[in-house]
Amino acid sequence: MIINHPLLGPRDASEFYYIGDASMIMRPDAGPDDHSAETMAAFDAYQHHRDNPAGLHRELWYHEQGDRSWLIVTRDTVTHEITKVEMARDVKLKGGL
Amino acid sequence: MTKYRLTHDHALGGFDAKADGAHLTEQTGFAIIAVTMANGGKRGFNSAMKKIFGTPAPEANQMVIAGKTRIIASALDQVFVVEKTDPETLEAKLVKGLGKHATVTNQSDGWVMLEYAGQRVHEGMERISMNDTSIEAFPIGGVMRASIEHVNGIICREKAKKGEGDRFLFLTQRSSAASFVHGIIDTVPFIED
Amino acid sequence: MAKTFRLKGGQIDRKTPLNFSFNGKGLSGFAGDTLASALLANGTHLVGRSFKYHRPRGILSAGIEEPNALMTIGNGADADPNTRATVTELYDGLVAKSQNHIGPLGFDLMAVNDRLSNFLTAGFYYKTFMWPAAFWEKVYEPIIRHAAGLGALSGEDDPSRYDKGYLHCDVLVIGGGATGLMAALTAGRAGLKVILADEDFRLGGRLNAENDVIADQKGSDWAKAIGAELNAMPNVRVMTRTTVYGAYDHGIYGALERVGEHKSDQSGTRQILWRVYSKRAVLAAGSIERPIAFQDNDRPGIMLAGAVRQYANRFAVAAGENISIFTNNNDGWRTAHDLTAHGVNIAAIIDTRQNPLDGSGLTAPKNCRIITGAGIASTTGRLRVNSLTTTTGETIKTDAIAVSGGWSPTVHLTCHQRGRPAWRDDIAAFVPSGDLPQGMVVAGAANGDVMLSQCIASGHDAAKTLARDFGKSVPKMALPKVNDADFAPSFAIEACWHIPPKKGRAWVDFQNDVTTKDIILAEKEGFTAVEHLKRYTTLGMATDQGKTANIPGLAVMAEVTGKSIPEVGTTIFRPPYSPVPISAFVGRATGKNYMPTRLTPSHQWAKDRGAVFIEVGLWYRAQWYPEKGETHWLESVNREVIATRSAVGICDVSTLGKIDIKGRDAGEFINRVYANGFAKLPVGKTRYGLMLREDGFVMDDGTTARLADNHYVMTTTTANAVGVYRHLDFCRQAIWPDLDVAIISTTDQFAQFAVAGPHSRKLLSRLVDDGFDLSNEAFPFMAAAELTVCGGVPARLFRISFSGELAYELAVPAGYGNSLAETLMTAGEDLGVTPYGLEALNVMRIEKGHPTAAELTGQISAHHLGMERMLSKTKDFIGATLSKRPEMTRPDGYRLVGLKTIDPDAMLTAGAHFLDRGAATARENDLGWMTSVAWSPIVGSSIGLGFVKDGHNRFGDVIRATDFVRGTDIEVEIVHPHFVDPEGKRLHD
Repeated sequence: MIINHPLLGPRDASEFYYIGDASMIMRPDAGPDDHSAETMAAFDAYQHHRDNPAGLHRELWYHEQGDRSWLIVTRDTVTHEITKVEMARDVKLKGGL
Repeated sequence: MTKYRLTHDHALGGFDAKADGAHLTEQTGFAIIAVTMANGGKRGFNSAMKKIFGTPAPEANQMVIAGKTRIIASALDQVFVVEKTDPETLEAKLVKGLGKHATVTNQSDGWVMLEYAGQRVHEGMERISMNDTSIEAFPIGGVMRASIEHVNGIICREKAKKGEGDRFLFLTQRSSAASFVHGIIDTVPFIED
Repeated sequence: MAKTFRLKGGQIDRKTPLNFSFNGKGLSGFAGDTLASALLANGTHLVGRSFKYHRPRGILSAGIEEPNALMTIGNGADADPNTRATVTELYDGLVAKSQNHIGPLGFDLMAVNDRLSNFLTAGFYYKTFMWPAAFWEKVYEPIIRHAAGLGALSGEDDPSRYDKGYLHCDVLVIGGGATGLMAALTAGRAGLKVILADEDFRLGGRLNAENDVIADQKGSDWAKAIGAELNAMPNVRVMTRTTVYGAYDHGIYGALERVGEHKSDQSGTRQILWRVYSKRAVLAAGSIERPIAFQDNDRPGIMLAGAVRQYANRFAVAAGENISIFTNNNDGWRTAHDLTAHGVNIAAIIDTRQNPLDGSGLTAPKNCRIITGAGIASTTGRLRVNSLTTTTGETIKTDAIAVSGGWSPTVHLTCHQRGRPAWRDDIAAFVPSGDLPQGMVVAGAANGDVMLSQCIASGHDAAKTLARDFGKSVPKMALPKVNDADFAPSFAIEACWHIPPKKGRAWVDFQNDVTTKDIILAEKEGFTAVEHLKRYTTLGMATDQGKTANIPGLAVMAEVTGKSIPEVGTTIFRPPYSPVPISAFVGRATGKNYMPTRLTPSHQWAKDRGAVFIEVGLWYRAQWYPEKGETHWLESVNREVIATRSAVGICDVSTLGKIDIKGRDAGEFINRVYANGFAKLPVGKTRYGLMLREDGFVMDDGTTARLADNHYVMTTTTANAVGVYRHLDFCRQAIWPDLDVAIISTTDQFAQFAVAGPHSRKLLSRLVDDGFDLSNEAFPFMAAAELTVCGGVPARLFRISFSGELAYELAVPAGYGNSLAETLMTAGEDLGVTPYGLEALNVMRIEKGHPTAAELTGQISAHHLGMERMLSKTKDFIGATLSKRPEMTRPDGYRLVGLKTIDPDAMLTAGAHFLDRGAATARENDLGWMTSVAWSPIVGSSIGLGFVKDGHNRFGDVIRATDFVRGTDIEVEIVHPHFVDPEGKRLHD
């Protein structure tokens, strides 16, 4: 597959390391020594609950062999068509997913 | 005062391989200083770089040459400043000139620099580089960091000298440099085919 | 002189004769021959024995679709089995052997299988060899394995060189026949960057096989001229002998270039595997002829009609002296005409259609027996066909039958991404349809075009349209003149897939020996879905992947089930289109080149000293440094441990990850990624750091030193260096992008040596430059500093200890690493300095109870390690919440403890499981497992670390360590994991 890096242009997917769903950038807040059930539930969902779409999926790729930037790639899991590539930090700075 | 002195070795012992149409030669005596821009401070950073070098830092896939200094885009928000000089002096100069606009880390020993040039170098690049390194896709001053035969490296295209088809500069991490070099000379044009 | 079946003309070079051998017999051919054409020229039709029934088989085709003529080419380690003779370029000295027979080819002992055909039908594996069940592994399977298979591997390493490469283009043209040549020419003239690939050694495709006329020239001459023009264009790359075997995502194609297979001198590169990155592609892969099945249609001499005329026109070879044609379409008649023009006698033309000549423009050759509305009922001739009998009862003497069942467009690459082709009744064939791979268009015969004039226009138009995508226009070019009527007036077909045999069998898949009877049986047994038909009968599963068999096979299934052919559908086509050797995928990554290696800065010094190395991931680390006279590694390791604990030892620890962390928010960032507190770490101090994953399990541990206000150095374990860096970068960019923090790996920048033992301070004091106070007061345990050594070399010094001794780690720029090792050895000679390797390092850390990867398995929590007090209560941190989950924090959970043998001579093993004495050896009584063991020369016995349930409350208890792999059961005492200097006094010396 080819990922069109926003800064570097098209690069082979083998230059990247894939970790999965983009929801991982939305880490819940927690206080120090937080024992609340709400926080536990939030982290449980954050860590373990995933949609598994046959279709468009936003996912995290790390350009490990390239510029070491984390990207959020919108890719159709059925056709492999990639429709959008963004810098993960830009997405997070703008407020997240 | 300690009587002991340490000697400094070249990473590849001054590696130099020649083929009909290419050579791959270790570049020694260069300082390589990594400069990482402070978060969100591009304007201040480039202004500081301009004061020191007369030019802002290069964009993500480029290199700029300022006199005897090459400034090479090495990673996100990071450049390598490369010059044939004493690393500590260059590091100190950068720390002073960049101040809060960037963090500075000496990488002169962690990276190895190699020159790859000759008439048949493009044939070799086709075998080792997944990315398009033709002059149209990768012009002079272009930089790409990628994997060469499973070893990470930074490729810069330099202006070819007379009689050379292409001239490239490679930077790669020291510990895997021997494998990196092997990956290049184990194919055309070093292995005649 | 042996009889030759050569004709005049052809594209062979009679000035270059070549010698080759087949089954030991010396034969000759010419440059331009394939092995098959040369064999046929010598009158050799019998070339192998079929897979299951060991029936005599001859050459069926002239291309990649060949199912029968599979040979082993070459000897010894060079032997290449299952090579198609039809696409093997002849070279001088070629050695070929037939396959799959015991005894000579003409008298295969395994032919007895043919007599058992009633039992060896489709699915017989599932029905026979079932009882008794125990016999399968020891009796049946070995017999079947020995009897089955086609060629055999030599069992030796492949001595050939293979390479890989990457190409980029605007347009990839797949196929260099008339269509592909026009597409490449058009795209090339438009100024696009073009790659033209063809699997043959000569451009032209079927133009080389036919007597077409293009622009008033022979088709093959026109092809040559276009090829020359393309070769002269700097923006066009022509690749012959190159099969594009796979269509992958985003315009990426796999191609195999056979650069060296045809050379007599095979010492150069044999094949190159190319990955082609294209923006657009034109699939101009042509079409493949299929046969019609009839009784005993697999006899040597029964061939595809298109192949018969290809042998005559291109290779100047007559497939026989008295040839019959059997066809259901107009194309079969071309063979009759071409052979007649070559002076070969046509015994008969049998056309299944009632009135094939009406309105077709076809004419019959003079004095030729024409039989219409009929088929072939049977044939005779075991080792070579010698007669046929029609369904109308006529028997005709013939030594070769040219069969044409129609042509199937080569759609495979259009389906590599799960595309499905569509059926066209008018040509009785599947054509590309639906979603094609990104950027691909199809042209010519591959797209269902049947006339040459259509193909040429199609190739040109496809390229012209593509050129517009690039904003380029094609300079005016006239299409070459093609008058189809001069050589192939029209195309018409009436589907006829098989003539049902009265007795005996009709073959559909020659290579896997699948007959129409098997397809009918599959339907009877309920395997009617096309994917089931394939797997139940093995139709289409051989090395030819059913190129001549798939469509006839599913057509027969359609008949039997009363469905239409498109209703039955095709199976999924997957790469590779034709076989690609695994060696080609490996390329140059053979032997030691399988992985890159990482060498430490003192590697040369260690090597010169005779160190024994071990691979740790990509790294080579010294395991121990044997001295003269030592005969066993334990001797060396014991010596190294004792020397370090009693004097001073040095160890290259450069491989551990070193990450410089800088910036205004560096401290805050580190505080968020470690479980324990780092906010108050003073400048000049280092601290042990426990790093959790977000799921609360321990990811890694290390130390982080603060060298300046906003400058920290984090260390990681060797194994996790890459993973931790990636994790930090993720936190930095994707979770907290507002923090001003930079990370940079300095693992390779510094050579780092552990200097450990009672004399370590003394040794170091000999290297540090004046002005640096190494005293215990000025530089206590866990201090960190930047300094210079040996007259100005910039260095970093950390007072940390993995060994548990008074110890330091000294880091200098990597280029000084080798020299530092030498210097430490020289400076410490009178102190008894000893280099120690990974093994001794491991013994010492086990003696001190320090966890490493053996303990940090990814399923271990801070509680398990006894480090629960490191989980800070004053901050949130990665892993904080989920680390609180009950199972991970239960008070009676696993705890890291030490294990000591009761019997001083017993040897503990890692992986052993713990059970109480007297407890039944059952899973429910499992108390935990042994993670690390070592022989401790200090303790004088085997010691271990491990996890035991509720271990912290069981010190002094004696339990069992049971090892099922080694078959041992040893009594052990649960002890504190700190076997040496348990109070850690030495650290503070």
